[in-house]
Amino acid sequence: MSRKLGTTLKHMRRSPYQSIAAAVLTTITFFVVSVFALVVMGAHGMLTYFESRPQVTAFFKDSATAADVETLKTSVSALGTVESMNYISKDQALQIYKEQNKDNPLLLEMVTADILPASLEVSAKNATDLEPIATVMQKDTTVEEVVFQKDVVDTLTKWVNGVRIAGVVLSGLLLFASLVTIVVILGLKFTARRAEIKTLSLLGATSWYIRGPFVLEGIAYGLIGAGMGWGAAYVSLLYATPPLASFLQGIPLLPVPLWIMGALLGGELVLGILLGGFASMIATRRYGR
Amino acid sequence: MSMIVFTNVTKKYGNGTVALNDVSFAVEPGEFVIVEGASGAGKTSVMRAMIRDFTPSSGVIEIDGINLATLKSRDIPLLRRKIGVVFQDFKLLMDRTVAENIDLALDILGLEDETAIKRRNELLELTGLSGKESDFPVQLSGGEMQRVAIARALAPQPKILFADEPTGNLDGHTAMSIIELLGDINSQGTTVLMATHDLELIKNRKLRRLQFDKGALVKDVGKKEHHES
Repeated sequence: MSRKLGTTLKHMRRSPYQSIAAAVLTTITFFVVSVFALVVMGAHGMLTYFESRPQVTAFFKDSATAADVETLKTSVSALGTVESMNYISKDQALQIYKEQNKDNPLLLEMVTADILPASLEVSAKNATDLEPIATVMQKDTTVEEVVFQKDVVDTLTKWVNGVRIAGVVLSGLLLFASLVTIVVILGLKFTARRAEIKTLSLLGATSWYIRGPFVLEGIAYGLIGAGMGWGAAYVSLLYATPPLASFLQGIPLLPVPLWIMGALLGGELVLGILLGGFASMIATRRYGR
Repeated sequence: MSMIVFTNVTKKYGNGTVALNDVSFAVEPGEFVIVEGASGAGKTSVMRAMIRDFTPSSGVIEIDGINLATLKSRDIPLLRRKIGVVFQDFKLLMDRTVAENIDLALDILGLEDETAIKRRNELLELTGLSGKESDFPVQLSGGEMQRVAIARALAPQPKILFADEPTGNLDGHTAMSIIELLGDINSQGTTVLMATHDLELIKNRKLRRLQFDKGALVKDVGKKEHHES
């Protein structure tokens, strides 16, 4: 195996531009795969977040009394589809606002509990139960506004599906381009060394002895691409984390847990091995016949 | 049991070319046989058939008791380790030293480093190349390159050595030294087949000669027959 690895490195050094081309394309491919995987995971996390949050929120008019709130609670509970309810008073609303904007003192100035409405957050057992709950809330005269998050979830679901499809298509195209590139490069190298390969064959070398270094070279391109693509995506994520965290305030997506990055790296390394190994098998298949 | 047996072997290509035409002969272990004939007579085709570089259109070939027709593809490398092959153009890897060219054949066998080095030194000694280990083929004479090729062919300790026009690119004196080397190898028990069209080189040797013409074996001049003639 050490000789095969040595031969593989020699092959790569002898045609550096071809080797660099293969490594760069696989790196770009895996960078895109990593970015889309992170975006899809993030979007999915966001969707889960919204789905697990109170999905219908009724904001009360300033004139609403505690009795009005209780009446609405009773009306909504009577539907039998409520998972939980949470009343947020004006003071609690201010505390939440302060917590969300603690890093931005300008936004805290001039804001008092009076200007924030009290609200009732209602979480339904099923998404299909949201509409009847919202209808009951909208009919209540003490309610100023009803925010119906089903629309948000629906829109987000469409976006997640769209991003997922785009990611799969783009990643698939790039993986195919990488596969073809590795096949062409290894095929050229294999053809260029046909005299040496013929000699090895006449000396009694087995198929694996001859094809082994080429297969390892293909796997090396896959591993290099997966490692560097993942690394580039991870570095980009680290740089983007502060502004993203500010943008997604309140949604606990960042920082991405290390185990997720580790799993992504592991998956991409396996994909890289499969990509490089498959490409090299195709490139050297003529000898196998 | 004969070492090599060809029974009615014919090889026809799709374009109608007949490389071997109903060839039958047997070579016993330890024999030194000359395969003679003009260019295109079928000498190289005999060698290629022996190492199963192609499958005959008809007929049976047996090497050391193995019927090549029933040999599985994965066992071809094992067959080729029984048959050392030397070419007129040496087929050395020019970017590797003498030692590395020989080591290549030893590495294919999967020998341990220590065993491989010992075997390489034996081969260098046998072929008179001691001291040339670090030289690259371009630094060697034609005769020396052919010796490297012979050393490499002998690495797996083959039962048969087929030298295909090994003296074709060499001057008379060097060619003679190569034939002497092949004779030494044969005297150690290896069956040697040497393809040549230059009978001058072997005129003083009592060797069996298989004469080929247009793919057919036209005459088998045996050792005994050679004596009588």
